[in-house]
Amino acid sequence: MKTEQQLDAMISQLAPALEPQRDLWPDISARLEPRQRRGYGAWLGVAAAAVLTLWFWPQQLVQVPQLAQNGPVAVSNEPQVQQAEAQVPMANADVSLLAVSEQLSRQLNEEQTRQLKALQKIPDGFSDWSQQIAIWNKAQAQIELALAFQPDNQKLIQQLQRLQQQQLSYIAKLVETSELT
Amino acid sequence: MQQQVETWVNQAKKGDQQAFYQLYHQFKGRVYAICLRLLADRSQAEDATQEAFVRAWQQLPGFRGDSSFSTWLHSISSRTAVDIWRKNKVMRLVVDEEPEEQGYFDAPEMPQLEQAILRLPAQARAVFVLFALEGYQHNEIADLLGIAEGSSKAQYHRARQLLRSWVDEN
Repeated sequence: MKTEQQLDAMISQLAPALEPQRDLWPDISARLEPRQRRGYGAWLGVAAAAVLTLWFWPQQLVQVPQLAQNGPVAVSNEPQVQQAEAQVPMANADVSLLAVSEQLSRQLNEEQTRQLKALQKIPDGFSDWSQQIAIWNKAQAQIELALAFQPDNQKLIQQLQRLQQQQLSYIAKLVETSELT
Repeated sequence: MQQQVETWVNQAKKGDQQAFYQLYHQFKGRVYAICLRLLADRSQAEDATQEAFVRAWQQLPGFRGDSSFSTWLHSISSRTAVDIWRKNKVMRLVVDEEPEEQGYFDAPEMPQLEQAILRLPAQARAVFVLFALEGYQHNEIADLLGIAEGSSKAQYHRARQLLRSWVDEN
């Protein structure tokens, strides 16, 4: 049996590099995405992924809804309602996830609005974008409030998903049109 | 060379894939060595090497140069290989007691110790490679591999014992 010192000596002589037997670059090259400027397109992709991940992860077995084809879901213009900051007792992990998702959703909305305000030129047909966004935000806030009381209500969850998808689609179309003009 | 690497890194950060190819060409051997020694499987090591470079490309804009590019890439490579190692661990149906059969250690061109490392049981091999060759501490290895620090030390001792006996066989 080799001594510890002999083993250490052999370890120190190991080659720092071993050459792969085939050329790995073509596969790597095919997977390298071009660097993009931090534009709206990339940001929207991240936003969409964040929203979808937040919703599909905790809900298990909730059927993925189709992207709504019609306009915003009808929302009553009831008097102002305190948003999800309302302190509601939440007992289980699902509710905690819901709270986190609501927080992130709000941050997402704020970021959306900030980015949209930075657009140099608003394309025709989108002049009322801020009102449209406000309607979606208000609708989402109301559903979030309802979800705070009924966190397992699948219809509410699906309705919120649809609203978020509609909002993202609208912004995507706005940005796309803006870049074309 | 260091200056040349920095130039390639800066160009690759801006999206220059040709510069990134130069980095790949320069470091592929080291990355592959980490992956092969950790995984003891040529095909998986190739996959891990590719994945490590793709991750490096993705994370390169955030590389600030606090450490050398080589160190940074080593870290990505180790973690990438460990990710695959952990997936393998989940897939393993039998307790890791006997040395595994691998096809690679038949390769006569490899040094005796290199072949012996590839013969080690998976956990002992991972601990040995990370500690003895990559410079990780046992507490870091414990975190990486999802084992207790004491287990890491025990596996390292076990690996050395096996290596000493195997290398002596021939």
